[in-house]
Amino acid sequence: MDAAVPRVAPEAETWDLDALYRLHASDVARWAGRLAGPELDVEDLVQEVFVIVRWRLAEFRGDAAITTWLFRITQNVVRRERRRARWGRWWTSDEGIEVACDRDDPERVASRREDVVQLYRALDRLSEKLRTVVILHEIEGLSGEAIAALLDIEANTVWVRLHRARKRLAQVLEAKTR
Amino acid sequence: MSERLERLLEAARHTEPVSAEALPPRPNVAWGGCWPRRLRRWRSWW
Repeated sequence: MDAAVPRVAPEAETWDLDALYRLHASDVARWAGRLAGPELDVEDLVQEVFVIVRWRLAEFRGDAAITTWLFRITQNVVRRERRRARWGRWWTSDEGIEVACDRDDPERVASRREDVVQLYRALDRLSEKLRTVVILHEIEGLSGEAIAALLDIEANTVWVRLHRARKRLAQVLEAKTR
Repeated sequence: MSERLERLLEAARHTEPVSAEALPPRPNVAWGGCWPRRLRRWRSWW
């Protein structure tokens, strides 16, 4: 998947933070944006990820691809920030949530914002494992094999999780309309 | 997959991810990284 990225073994300490950022900041931003949904600031998340990368880079042993390692950190940062944001929902409305949209038609933007917020609220009802797989496949458009490589799991596991996630998501949405 | 779920997913697919150009050119990890951004936001809010 990332042939251009060398697997780092004993020379892990030679990874340069700037180079890593140059190569992978846009990947981290994309993952963070997709995993977090419209309620969190992606630039903040990217910075939080690279603050952790800076401190933990020396611990990286190259057991997994660098993208897998970065994805795990991104996932943890997003999870923590989502938990914090959940508290904020008690006193804020969805009105302030911005959804970057490819059209400027205000009605369309508003309805799309509503749809995206609704989807992410439903996704919040899934376990972290199911949530991640369904976001990566259905929204980000990654193949099963790419997801398996990114998460360092078997491709079969991806398909099983995806099947469960779709089923669960449909149940959650159905329960909300009742 | 239900029609409704497909519509919601379609809406999410059309949101634009943050482009690489929108990110700062270097990682901002000084003083805990995100603090300068957060301070700016707090200042504008006040």
